Formats: sequence, C-alpha cells, structure tokens
Amino acid sequence: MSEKPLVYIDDLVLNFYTYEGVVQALDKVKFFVKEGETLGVVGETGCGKSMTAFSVLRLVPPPGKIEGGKIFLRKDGKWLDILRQREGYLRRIRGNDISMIFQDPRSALNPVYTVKDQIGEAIKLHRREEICAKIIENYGEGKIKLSNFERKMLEKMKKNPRALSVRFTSKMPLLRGFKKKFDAEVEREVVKLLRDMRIPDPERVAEMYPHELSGGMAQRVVIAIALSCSPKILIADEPTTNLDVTVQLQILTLIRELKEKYNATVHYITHDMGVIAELCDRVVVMYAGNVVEMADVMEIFKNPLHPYTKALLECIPRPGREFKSIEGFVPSLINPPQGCRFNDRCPFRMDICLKEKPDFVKVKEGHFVFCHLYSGSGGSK
Amino acid sequence: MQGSKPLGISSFAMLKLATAIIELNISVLLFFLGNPFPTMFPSLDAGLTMLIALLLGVLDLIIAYNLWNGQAFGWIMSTMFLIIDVILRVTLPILFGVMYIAFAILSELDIAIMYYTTRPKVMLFFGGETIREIYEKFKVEMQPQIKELKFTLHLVKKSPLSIVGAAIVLFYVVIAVFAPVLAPPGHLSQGGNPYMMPKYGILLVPQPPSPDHPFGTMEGQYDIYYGCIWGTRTAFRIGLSVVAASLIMGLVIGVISAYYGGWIDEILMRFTDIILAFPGLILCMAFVVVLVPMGMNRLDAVMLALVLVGWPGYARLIRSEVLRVKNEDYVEAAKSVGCSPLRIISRHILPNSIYPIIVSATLDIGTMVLTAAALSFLGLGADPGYADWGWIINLSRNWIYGSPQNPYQYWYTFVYPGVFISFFVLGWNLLGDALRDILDPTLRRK
Repeated sequence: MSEKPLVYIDDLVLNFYTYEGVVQALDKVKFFVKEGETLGVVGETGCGKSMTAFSVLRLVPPPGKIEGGKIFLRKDGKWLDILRQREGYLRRIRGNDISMIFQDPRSALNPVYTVKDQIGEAIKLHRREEICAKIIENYGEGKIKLSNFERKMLEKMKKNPRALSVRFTSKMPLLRGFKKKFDAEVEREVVKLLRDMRIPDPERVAEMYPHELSGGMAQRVVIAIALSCSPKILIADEPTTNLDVTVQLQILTLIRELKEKYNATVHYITHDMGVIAELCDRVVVMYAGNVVEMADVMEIFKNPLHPYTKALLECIPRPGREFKSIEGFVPSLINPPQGCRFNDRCPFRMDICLKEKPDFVKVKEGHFVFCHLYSGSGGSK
Repeated sequence: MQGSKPLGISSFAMLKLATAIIELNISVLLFFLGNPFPTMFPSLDAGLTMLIALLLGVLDLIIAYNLWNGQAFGWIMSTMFLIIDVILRVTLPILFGVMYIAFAILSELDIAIMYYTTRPKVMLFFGGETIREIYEKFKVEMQPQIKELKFTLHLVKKSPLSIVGAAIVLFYVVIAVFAPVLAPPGHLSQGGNPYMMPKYGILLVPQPPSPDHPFGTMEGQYDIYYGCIWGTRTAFRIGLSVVAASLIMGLVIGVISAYYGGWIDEILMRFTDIILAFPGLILCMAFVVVLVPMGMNRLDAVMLALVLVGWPGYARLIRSEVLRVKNEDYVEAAKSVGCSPLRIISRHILPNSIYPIIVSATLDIGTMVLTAAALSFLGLGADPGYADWGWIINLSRNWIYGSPQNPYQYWYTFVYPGVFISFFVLGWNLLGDALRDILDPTLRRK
C-alpha cells in the first residue's frame, strides 16, 4: 500500500432542491482514499455516504446538485478534477477507472439481458482496443486464420468503433465474421471473469437471465461487471446489506481476494461496524453530511475520539451488555444545526460548537477528527 | 497468394476468359446487327441487352485477369462480383430469350467451380466453419428463444379469443392480398386505378344483390362487393401506417422528454397538452380541411391528420413508462459503467418500457380505421368513388330508411361495409388483448 492518495475529496458541497427546502446533503466533506487500501465509510442511513460515492462518479441523481468543492482523481500521474471534466470524458472514466457495486444486485441488473450481455457491455465499451489487439495477435497462426478483410476491420474497429464502415459491415450477414470473433472473445473474457468470481459452471451462468440467479450469485455478477475493466477504484455501496449472513461472508472474502488480484483500491460504504473491522484498512466516519473522524481501523476501535464515533461504537450490540443507542435524532438536513451538526446530541457540547463548524484536527499521524474538543489541546492543524 | 496458384484457379481463369470473349462477341454482334430475331422476340431491346452483355464481358475479363495473376480478390469483392453476375445472367435470358438460356446455364457452371476451387476461402465467410456446423451452433444458440416461442404458442393456443382475433385479422390479410383475384379490376369506369370502385351505370337508386353484384350496388351504381374487398387494402394502409407513424413520433417525443426532463420535458409535454386539449375528431377535421386545399391527396390528408392527432397518446404513455424505468438501479448501473445516453435509452430503457405501447398500438389499429371511417362518413374522407368502407357508408346514409312499406329495403348498402368495419376492429382488439397477456412478462407465467 502506497501512502499516495488516489482520490482526494475537498470541501464537497451537495444540495438537493426539494419543495420542503434545500436539503444540505453534504456540507464540506473532506477525505482522501489512498492507493491500494480499503477505505470504509461508515455512518447512519442518510448521512451522505452513498451521495459522496455518486459524486465521485458525478452521477448525483436529480434534484441533487454539486455546489462546491473539488474531487481529484490521480490518473496517469496527473491530478484530474472530476467536477470540471466534460461528460464525454467522464464516460470513459466511469467503469474504466472508477466503478461501482450497487446495494441491491437484483435491481442493478437489467431483467431483459443475459449475464453475458451485461458484463460484455462494459468490456465492449472500455476494453475494445485490447480485445481487438488480442484477436489479431492470437488468430495469426493456428488452424483458423483471420482473413485480410477481418484483420482490416478489426484494426479499424480498434481505432474507431463508430466508423461507418465498421457499423455497417458488423450488421451484414456475410461480412460480420470479425464482429462474431470479437463477440466470442468478449464472451471468453466474461467466462474468465465469472470464474474469478468463484461462480460454479460459469459457461452456464453466462447464458442466464438475472431472475434465474440467487442473491449472492447476482451480487457476484454485479461485482464482475464492476471489475470487468480492472478499475483503479471500486466503490462498493453496501454490497452485502441485502444478503444473508453466510453469503455476506462469502462476498466479503471475495472482495478481499479480488482486491489483491485486480490491484484495486476499494471504497467500501457500509453501516456495519463488523464489516469495517473485517475488511477495511482505514475508516471514515460520517454524520449528517459531514466527515467526523478519519483514522486507521485499529485506531478507530481502540481510540475513538469524536463523541459520535464513541457513541456509534457503544451501539454495537454485544452479549452481556445493555442495549444502547445515541440519544436524540439525526437533525433535519433542511435546517441543520449551526456550527457542528452533532451539537444537539453531543454530551461534551461547548459554546463554540453552536457557532463554529469544526475544521479537521490532526491528532496523530493518520488520525483526523473534526471536533472542537481537540482543537485546543495537543492537536495541531 | 502470390506464387502459389491453387489447382483449379488457373482453369477457372481460363473458363472466365472464354465466357468473357463470348459475351463481348455477343455485345458487338448486337451493336452491329440490332435485334437478331425480330420475328421471334419483337419486344427485345437490343441496346439494353448489348449493354448488359458488355458489362458481363468486362466483369469476367477482370476476374479472369486477376485469377490468372494469382491475385484472387478479397472475398468481399468476389462476392460482389458473384451477386452482380447472377443478377445480370438472370436478366439477360429474360431479355434475350431462350437462345441465351443454354449459354447462361453453361457459364453458370463457373460459379460452382469457383465454389469448389476456392472452397477454403468461401468457408472463411463463416469464420472457418462448414455450413452444417454453423447450423448446429445456431440451433444450440437459439434454444432459449425457441423454448420461449413454444411457450408463447402454447399460451396462444390456450386463449381461444386470441386465436379468433388472429384468425379474423388473417382473414382480412388474405382478402387484401387476393383482392385482384376476388374482385378483378379493369372496368372502364375505374380509369386504370384499381382502388376506384367500378360504376355500373348512372341509376341513382341502389340495386339489390344479384349474381353480377353479390352485395348489390349503391347510389350511383358502385359495386359494393368490389368496394368492400378493395377497401380492406385501404383499411390496412390507414391502420398500419397511421399507427406506425404516430407511434414513432410519440416514441421519440415521449422518450426525449422523459429522459432529459427539465425544460425540454416542459416544452414537449405542454405541446402535447395543447393537442390533447382539442376533441380528436374535430381537430382531425380541421387538419383535413386545411391540408386538402394545400394540394394533398385526400386519403393522405386523412392519414396525416390522424397521425398529428394520434401521437400525444403514445407520447404520454411512453413518457410515464420511461420515467418509471429511468430511476431503476440498472439504468444507474449502466451509467456508472460509462454508457452514453443513446445506448442507455435504446438498450436499457426501451426494452423495459415498450410492451404497453405495442399493445396499445395494436388496439389502436382498429380504432384508427374507425376514426377514418367516421371522417369519411362526415364527408371528409377519401375521394368519391375510392374503395373505402367509410365512404361506402357515407353514400348509403340516405338509404338507411327505405319506404314506409319496407323500411329495410336497402339494407345491403350499409350492412356489408358495416360488418367489414366491425369485424376488422374486433379482430385487432382481440389480438391486442391477447398480445398483452402474452407479451407482459408479469402476466405470462401465471
């Protein structure tokens, strides 16, 4: 794991414009994802975990609007502000550099296409050049030869898939041999991917429709789609929430293995502290559209600093201990409290908490907390 | 290819050269002699035949030259040559007569030879597989589709109404296709246009059915039987083309407005609201009244008016469907993979939202014909004398009530076309209902 950040989110502000008022869903969210790590983002429902992830892909559903801040992605050694890119360029980044696993695998798969088609779609969109080159290389020798025409068309397709000649000939009955070879190669990739997902009998599953798959199986397919183009960052949006416990464990193990295999950075969103402990290297705790604490996973469990993190850890049910919950309610994000958003539920509230929004305090190497309690004593900015 | 000349290629080249020489000779002969058989083939166009023979000769010459050099064409070129070759060779005998047929068959042999000598090349068309292998693979590939199709047929068999609907529509299709056989055109009063009804005399009073006119004749002695039979074609033309055109228009507008939302949605939907605010038939009449003086054919004007009035329904329907599907997770997932809007619409949204619209369109085919008939009945339909059910009924309006002694004296003037229209609409409605039960994935497996 290198120490270099791969994604850096700086002061991200996201508002939803509704009839009830402006929902300030994210207010100056600030954290980073290091290359090669598994970052867990934890928080209650509605605290903005998923919306942060959608912002990274710039796919915030309307009426949401990103109103400020920057999201940097390190691509080919350069920093890229995602919020300032053209939509067409973003489309090349989505799926290729950043991809996402959705919460409900069943609804994330289109019911009218087979597994093969859906995984193949991402591959065809982003790995066309690679696949074309592979076919040209592999078909060179051996029994079945690539005809001159097919080679020419594949080379053309490699350069520009939307060229008129490619689009036309790929639909002509006798001329579309090259397209068939391309599709066959894509299918081989799909089966390979499915095998990586530990799916038994991948050739058969590739032909199945989503409704024929079990929940765990469907989630594996969704993960396969996300990993099909070897993305740098894999955003997993509560991928195990809708699965039962045994399948949950299998999927977690799978994600951990695949992370090593595909050399990806994982941005894991969950509300389950158990999953965090199991899977993650570092944790970001979010509350009501704010980041409240960011630290290594051991640090969070052993030495939680922010009052909210402490309370959250207290809430984990354990045998032999009384059931606890945090007092009060999550504030309405239309009229969030002034200053620190946790102030009305915080047992250590001070005057400054009501007025001023806390900035991050670096307590020790790699441990940041957004709280006034630590801004004076010992912490340095 | 250079250097290695496969066995047979050179002989193929020789054959091609021979045919080329013969064809060139024929063209030269035709050029100088004109039609060589003026008594046998008086209609032969010597100039055209010469041109074709010349073309064939040049083509064969090129192929022969290239084969001789061992530079076989890329298979795309040879396929093209082959297609042109076959087309020309088929047209030449037709023009030139029997004399050429023997020669054509002979020269056609070269295609067979080409197939066998260049067989490995031909096999490359299909990615190196034999045709049998391709067929086997196709069968395996199509297994799920065949299974679903069988299930669909099973469903069709189970619901008798769908069979009745399909049978009625099929019956009309047969009538429309065999109209020239069932009611041969060619009466002098038609003026060469089979869609105009023949007029047997100038008598004003309708005449009852007789062996000559099985459904009788109506005011002005138009043959009702002829009108009903040929009116089927008009009905299909109106129903299918109006529904198809308004479906496409509604689809484009509805999808764009739902997918992009915002002010685009606002503009497009307020525009559809404007059209929906008028009573359909009145607006149709207004359009027809405006379009006909602009020099449009009356039937075309009716169809265009129906399209202009009919699309908002589809636009609204598809809009609501797209709005539902648009927020599904798999559309979001497709976006996160990097799909373009066009791809998302065409591959992810439309297949999941098109079925209700298809069903509604099927039901509308009958309705459109009914509306067109209503327009005809109001006197705004097809030209007078045009074979159109609505127009027949319009003309028989005066004869609904006969005389006090025999009120149903002229029943044949409106019963026959009325029955034709009613069953046409009924057939499409039954078919549409059955389609909904069969196509809807949620009702399918119940």
